[in-house]
Amino acid sequence: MTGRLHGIGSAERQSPTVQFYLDGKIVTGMVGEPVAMSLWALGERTLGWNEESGEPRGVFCNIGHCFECRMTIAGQPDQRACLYPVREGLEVRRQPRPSALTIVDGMTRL
Amino acid sequence: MAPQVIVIGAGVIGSACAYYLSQAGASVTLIDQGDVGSGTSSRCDGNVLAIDKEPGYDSLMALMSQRLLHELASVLPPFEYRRPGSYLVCDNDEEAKAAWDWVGQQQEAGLPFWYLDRAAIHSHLPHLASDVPAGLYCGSDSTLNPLLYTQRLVQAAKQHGCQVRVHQAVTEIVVNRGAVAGVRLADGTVLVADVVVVAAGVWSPRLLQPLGVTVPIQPRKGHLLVSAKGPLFGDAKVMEFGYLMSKFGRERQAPEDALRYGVALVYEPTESHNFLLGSSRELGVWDTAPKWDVVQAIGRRALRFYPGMQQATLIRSYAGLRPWTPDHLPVVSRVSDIAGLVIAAGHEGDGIGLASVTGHLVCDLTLERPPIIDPRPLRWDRPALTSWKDGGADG
Amino acid sequence: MDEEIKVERSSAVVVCRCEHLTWDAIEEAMAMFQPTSLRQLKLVTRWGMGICQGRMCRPIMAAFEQREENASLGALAVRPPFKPVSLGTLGRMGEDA
Repeated sequence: MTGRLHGIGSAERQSPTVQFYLDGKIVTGMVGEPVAMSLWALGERTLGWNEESGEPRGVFCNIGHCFECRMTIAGQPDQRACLYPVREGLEVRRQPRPSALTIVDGMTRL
Repeated sequence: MAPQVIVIGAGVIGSACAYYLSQAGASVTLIDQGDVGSGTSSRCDGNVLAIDKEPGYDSLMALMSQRLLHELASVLPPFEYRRPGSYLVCDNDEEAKAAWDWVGQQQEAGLPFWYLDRAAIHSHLPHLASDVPAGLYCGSDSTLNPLLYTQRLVQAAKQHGCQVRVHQAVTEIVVNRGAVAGVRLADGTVLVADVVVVAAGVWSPRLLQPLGVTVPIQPRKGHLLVSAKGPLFGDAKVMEFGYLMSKFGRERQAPEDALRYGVALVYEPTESHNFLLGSSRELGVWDTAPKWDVVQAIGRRALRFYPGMQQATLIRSYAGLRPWTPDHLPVVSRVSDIAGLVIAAGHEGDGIGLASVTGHLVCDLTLERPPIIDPRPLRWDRPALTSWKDGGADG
Repeated sequence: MDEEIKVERSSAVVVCRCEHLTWDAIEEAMAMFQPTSLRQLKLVTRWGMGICQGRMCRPIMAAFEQREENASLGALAVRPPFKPVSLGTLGRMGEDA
C-alpha cells in the first residue's frame, strides 16, 4: 500500500481495507488494525487534547496501559484507540478539551 | 497569658479550631495520628449545604458557617471554593408535594430557597431525566476541595504560631484533679496543656471514654465515585430529595439496593473537569474499602436521574466514615466536670460545611468570649445523647 | 539497566501525563504543603488521580521516594474499578444477558 507510513515491517499486507470516520471525515484502515494505528499510518498523530493543559496527545505506550490514546469510539468516550479494532463505518471522535465551569457564584445571579 | 491548647485531630474540624484559636492569640499544638486531613476530611465530597437543614437551629448554624466560610475564602489561599447554589430533585409526585412544604418552611424563615416546578427544574437542569416532576434550589450553598481547605486552615494557623505534629497518636488525655493537664503520646511523652480540644471525628469516643465521658459517635460509612475528565452534567451540585422524606415522617420510594445502602443521588462537578457521584450510608462500619455492590447502587441511582451518564467513565471509588450522632447535631461543648476539656466532633456529613462555625465556637468557648451561636443544643450531655442506648433506632 | 533513575527538576519534565503535572509543580507542592505521605502528596497535587490512576507515574513516584528525605512516604491504595468502566456498563453488571 503505497503512501502508508507504518514503519513496522515492510512487506505489503493483503488485508482488506475498511472506511471509517475520524470526526466525521472518511478515512481508511486495514481490517484488524487498532484505530490508533490506522490513524498513525495516515499521518494523524493527534488523537485528542489533554484536559488540563490543552496540549495535543497521541499514542504513548501503545499497549492499552496509559490511556493517552483515549478517543470516543462508537459513541463511547475514553476508549483506548491502540486496542480498538477498526471496522466498516466506525465513528471515531477526538475528545475536545472540556470547558471550564461557568457558574462561580450563584448568589450574585439571584 | 495565652492558654496552651492542644487540638487532637487535624481534620477539617480540628484545623478550623486551630486556625481560629491561633488567630485569637492562643498557643496551639495541632496533633494527628496521621497526616493533616487523613481521616474523613480526605474521604468525602466538598458540599457546604443549607438546602437539607431543618429550619431553626440546624439551619441557623449552617448559614452562619456559610457566611464564615465565605469570609475565609477571601482571606485564605485558594481551595476551589465556588458558590453555585445547590439543587434537590424529586423522584416522584409524593416528593414534589413534600418539597413544596419544605420550601415554604424555609422561605418563611427567610432563607434563599426556590421551588422549581416541572418546567423550571428542566430548564435549570437540562440533563435531568424527563420524568422528574419538580425540585428546589438553595442559593447560599457552595462547594470546595475539602483536603485543600483543611491544608489552608493549617497553613494559616502555622503562620500564627500553631505547632503541627503529624503521625503522632495520642494514647491518653491526662487529667489531674478535675482539670486537663495534657496528652500522652505513644512513646510516653506528655505534652502539657491547659485546654484539650477533641476533634478526632469517629476516633473521639475512644479518647473520651477513659475519662468517663460517653459520646455516642459512630462511623456511618459513605461511598463516592469519581468520573474521568470530560463533559459535565451541570455546574451546580444536585442531590435527590428522597433522603429527606424521613424528616416528614414519610416513606421514601426507591429501588431496593438504594434503600439497603441508604443511597441517595449526589452529583458534584469539580474544577478538575470531572465529577463525583454519591452517596451511601451504612452505620457502624469501620472499613473504608469500597464495596462494589454499593458502588453499583450509586451508579444506578445516578443513571435514574441522568440517563445521559450511560457513557460517562468511572475511574475510581472511595469511602469515608461520617461521625454520626443520634440527633444528627455535632457535639461542640465544654465538659463541666473536667476543666479545659472541649469536644468538637460528630458532624456526620456536614463537617466540611460546619467547620468554620465550629472552629469559631470552640475558640469562643475556650477563651470565654460570647459564643457566635447558642451552644446549648450542641452540649455533650444533652438528653438525645445521654438517653441513647446502643442498639437503639438508627437515625 | 542498572543506572539509578535520575529525575532532574525541570518544567519540561511531565511526571503525570493525565493531570499534566511537571516536576516543578511537584517540588512546589512539596515545599508548600510538606506532605508526609505519598497519599498526601497525591491529594495536594493530583499526582496519580487521573484516568490511568498512577499506572504510568508510579515508577517516577518510586524514583522520588528513593531520595532519602522521601523514603518513608508509603504506598498508594488501589481502588475499584481497576480499569475505567462506563456507568452504563456498571449499571448492567450482574444482570443476566
